[in-house]
Amino acid sequence: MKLLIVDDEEEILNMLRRNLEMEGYEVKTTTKPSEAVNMMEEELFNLVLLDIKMPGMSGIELLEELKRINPLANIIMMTGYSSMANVVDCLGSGAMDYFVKPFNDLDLIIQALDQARSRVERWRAAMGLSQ
Amino acid sequence: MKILLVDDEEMVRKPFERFLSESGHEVITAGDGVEALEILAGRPADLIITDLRMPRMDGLELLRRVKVLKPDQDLIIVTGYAEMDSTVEALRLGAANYLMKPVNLEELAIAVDRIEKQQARDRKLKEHETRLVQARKMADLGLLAGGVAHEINNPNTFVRGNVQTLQRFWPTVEQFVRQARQAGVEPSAKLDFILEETPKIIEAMLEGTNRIKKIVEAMASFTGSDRDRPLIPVNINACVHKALDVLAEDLETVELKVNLQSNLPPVGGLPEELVDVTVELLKNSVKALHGRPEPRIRITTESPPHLVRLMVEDNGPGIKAEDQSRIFSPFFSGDPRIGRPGLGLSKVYAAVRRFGGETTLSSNESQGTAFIISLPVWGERWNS
Repeated sequence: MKLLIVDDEEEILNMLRRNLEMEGYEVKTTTKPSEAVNMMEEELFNLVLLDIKMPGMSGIELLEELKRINPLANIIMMTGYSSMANVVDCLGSGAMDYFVKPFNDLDLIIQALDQARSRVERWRAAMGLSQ
Repeated sequence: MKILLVDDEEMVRKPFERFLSESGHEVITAGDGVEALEILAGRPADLIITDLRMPRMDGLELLRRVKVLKPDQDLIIVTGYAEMDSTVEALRLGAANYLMKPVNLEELAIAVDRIEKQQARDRKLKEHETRLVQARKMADLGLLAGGVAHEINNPNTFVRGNVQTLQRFWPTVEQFVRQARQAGVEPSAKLDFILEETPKIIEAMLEGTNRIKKIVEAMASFTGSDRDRPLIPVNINACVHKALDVLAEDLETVELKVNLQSNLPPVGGLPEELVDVTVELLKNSVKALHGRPEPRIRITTESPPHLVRLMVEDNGPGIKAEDQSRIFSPFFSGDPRIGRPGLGLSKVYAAVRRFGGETTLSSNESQGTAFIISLPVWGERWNS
């Protein structure tokens, strides 16, 4: 399943990619919010990992933009220690979950994604859609 | 005020001494300049009143020497009409004032009073300046801490994430190596060592990132990362109860006095942070009391007009004067023997400042330490 990861730190993207490709996800990454919007318009991503603090566009703006493009996308936020107020806003705007950096346990992120993945799969099966 | 009275004639000294003592001053006397300097070496005076003409060392010489030792020493000279030259010289050397003989007690009272008031004004100004400098330093430190915290958090995220990744990947490698060995591949001598040590290496790296994470969190809390959260009315008494609950075990060995004012007005803040503030102050006192005889802590809340005040006092060893201005800096510890320096008091300072209040301390080595937190009453802060 396709997964889009957006973070302005290249090494965080690499680290997450390593883990999630091992788990069988088809991972695409970008450090730029504008590029994330383009990618979302061109391809169908049902799963997105999104950094809350991005240069040029706030995480919540990007979240709302991605949700507008694909209202069914499961978006999980990643946040630094400093933006708990933003997290609340993001959850209010339809983010599914959030994880605080640095991640205590990568397994928890993988679990959250796996749950989202099976939800998407169940939904697709119910709608009679193929993978 | 502590006054040192210097005159070689007992007949002159006595009435001055009596008059000044009756006015509430603490008076010490000396017969000449030499004796005066000896006394000053052990007991500094707020004001010296000295005659000019004395045996061994005269008033001018005393003034010269005193000003070298303590340039801001206040000194009044007592002088006669025949000594106008010396009087001018004394004023040039920095005497605060002069009194003409025969000295009128009313004039003496006015001169002393003027100096007392001036000293009070100077003290206030100095305190104010110190506080301003302190506040500016803390604000700079806050910005720095916030910046550093953010800059460290990202690399720490990928270091930690990659180490965890390694931890996830390692069992696959390990299993393969064991299988290869079972299949008869001859391992190098170091392999067993590597197999055994690698998980420990990973653990150590994780522990390192964990510590960095904690420091970053503490630094972030020092800057007040939740600064966007709206303040709400908080009852300080409730915070005290909560804090006492949290620290019940630590406080077991301490005699505790709790004087909470009933009907205390609320202050504007965040309840969990104000509990934290109280906990940190109490923890600080408990630490200071470690190993002390008859350890006591007194917690008081009161409400002077427009304010709510929380005081935490202990009878510990006190904080050295030179440490008092630094005690609120992050990672400062007055006593390296007492645990690891941390962010406790700097957090207190930052939180209280964010809620529009002020943290002060009064401490000396004989009586212990009192931390005083003053916060504006909720609802009144906006009017002032």
